[in-house]
Amino acid sequence: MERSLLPPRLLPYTTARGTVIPMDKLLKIENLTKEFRSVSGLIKRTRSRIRAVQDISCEIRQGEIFGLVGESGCGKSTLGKTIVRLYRPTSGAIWFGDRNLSDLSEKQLVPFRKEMQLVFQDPNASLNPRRSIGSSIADALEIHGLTPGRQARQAEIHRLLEQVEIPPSYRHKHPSVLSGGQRQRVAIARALAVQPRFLVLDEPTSALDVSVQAKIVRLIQDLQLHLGLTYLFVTHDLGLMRTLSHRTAVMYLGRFYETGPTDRLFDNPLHPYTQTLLASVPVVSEDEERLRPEDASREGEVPDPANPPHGCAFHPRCMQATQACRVSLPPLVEVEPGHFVRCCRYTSP
Amino acid sequence: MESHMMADGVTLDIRSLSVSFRVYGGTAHVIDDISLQVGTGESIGLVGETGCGKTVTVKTIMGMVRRSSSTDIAGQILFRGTDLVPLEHRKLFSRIGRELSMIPQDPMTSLNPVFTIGTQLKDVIRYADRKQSGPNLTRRQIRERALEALSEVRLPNPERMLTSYPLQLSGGMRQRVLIAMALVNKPALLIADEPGTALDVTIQKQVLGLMSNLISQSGVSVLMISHNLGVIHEMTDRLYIMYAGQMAETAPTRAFFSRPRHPYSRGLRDSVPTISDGAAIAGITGTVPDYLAAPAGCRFHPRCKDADERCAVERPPEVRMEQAWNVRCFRHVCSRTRPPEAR
Repeated sequence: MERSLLPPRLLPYTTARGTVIPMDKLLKIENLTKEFRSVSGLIKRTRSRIRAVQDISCEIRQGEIFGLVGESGCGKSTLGKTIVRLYRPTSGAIWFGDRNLSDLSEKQLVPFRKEMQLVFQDPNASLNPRRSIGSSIADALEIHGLTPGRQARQAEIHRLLEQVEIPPSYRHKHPSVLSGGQRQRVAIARALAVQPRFLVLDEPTSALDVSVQAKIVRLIQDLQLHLGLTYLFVTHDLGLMRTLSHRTAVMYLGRFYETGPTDRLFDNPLHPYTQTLLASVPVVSEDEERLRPEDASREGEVPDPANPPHGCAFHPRCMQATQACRVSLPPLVEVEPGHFVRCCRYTSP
Repeated sequence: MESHMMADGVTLDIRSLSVSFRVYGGTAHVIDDISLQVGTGESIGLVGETGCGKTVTVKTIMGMVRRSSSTDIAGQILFRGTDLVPLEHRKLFSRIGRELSMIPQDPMTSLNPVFTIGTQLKDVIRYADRKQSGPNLTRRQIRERALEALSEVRLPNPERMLTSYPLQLSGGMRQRVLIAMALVNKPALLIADEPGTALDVTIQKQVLGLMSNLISQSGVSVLMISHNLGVIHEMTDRLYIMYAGQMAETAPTRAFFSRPRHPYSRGLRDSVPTISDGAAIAGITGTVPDYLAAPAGCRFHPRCKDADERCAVERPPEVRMEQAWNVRCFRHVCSRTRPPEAR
């Protein structure tokens, strides 16, 4: 993006490095658990429970980008969707201001839908191919009754498209004639239509080329600064996480295994799983090759979430696993300010 | 484009290949005069954004894009000295799968869901056996070879794997099966289309590590297609950067990443987020052009920050910067002795 939306920084962030993390919390999540049940087999019925999100507590602060990283199937998307109440949590609380969203009905949630929005991974699937992008955005405005009158609505669509750098004259076009990057911009414009405070971005750039991804990331960053938004950014791309997020949580089989300020977590990864993830990223320079930590895992895959390993879920892949790891799940402990890790090596004295 | 690998022999030599499709709206010149060499035992990367012609190039090599009433192919694709372009169907397909094989992009959809892994893998072995000189192998030999191939890609319990269906396997395991299939007939050239990019980084790392072991053991030549620059950096000796059906740059991989010279190459490199410092990523403005109305001159000029009037009219010549390093850009024509400073 050549033209920045608003150069002066409104928020207490300086750069991605040496960030000042704000303290006012926007969301507080307490012991959140989301369980999926399934029944399979015709004659011999077998029931299985998958705990996609297990006992997660964290807070997301006003104006920060909170990153969620992990392999596929670790529950990061489920957590994002549960926080914005696309899923009803099995237990736990989601405090948004002084209201607990976890038990609200769809009807009671309507005012909160305006506050929190979601941008999906694949804009091809999230935009209706048979409707013009203008009318897709208009829906959001209409549902929440934000713009009385046609003219006001058209003006608002114009403004929203401009905000994501799509020529407003495109509002009559259908998604099929737009490029992947443009479609994702439209999806972002639609999420912003209700003027939310909090956005969940679920791998918004993973379907795009790196050159296009970089432009979308810049847009996402600019919008955050300009509009004072708070993001939950879900990705499996660690490079992107480092570029974008202020705090990062590493998730494995439904739980947080390490959380902390992004710079600290990347410069000083404590959990063997975090080290494994970082060691696996294909990098493009020798400098980075040197900075990558040693791989701390043996060859293996993510275990079946319906039947997770006992104790620390990472122990079957961990090279430093001891007997203690197989027995009990270690708690998250604070190793340095704001930097938490769930690993036996930090709990036993 | 001259090769520095001539001494060791060239497995694949693409010379001035152009491919165009006649479609409803006109003629789409998708591949515009590209040349590419894969030396024997060399690993080559072909890099570019989505829609820049990588897959069409591969499909043309593999005979999936053929001359027809709507498709024009000019130039030569010399594979071990034989031009594949005019080769008749039967002759071409007696080589594909045997001397020339491919690892497809998506492990989740590239295996037939209704046949077992064993059936599909044994088919590949039987096919090559028949094409070689009639059926020579017994059923038992075929089975043994299949088991050997599966254990080479370090799949646990190959016996059970033979009777498994694709849906019983994870993505990483399916990717391994596809690698086994591609290498089982000991091909001379392996084409890998986005290997491992559909997988998680940890699994991707395991798969790529396995691939590079097998490649160095068997001495197969590799043409690897990817838009993931990290994968290309770790897996290849030399690379080609392609943009909108034209070659922008070719260079030795390691040296390239510290100093990409074409503005497009630099744009790509600077778009990759880094894990070490989280520096801002720049990206490239605009998108790959419509091939029905591809820009004249250098096809990259509408997106290029350094373009001038000349770029819009004339196609830049290929400038040789150093050994095995060629760039097609006017910025390097006059300043050949004084290469512009790398970022």
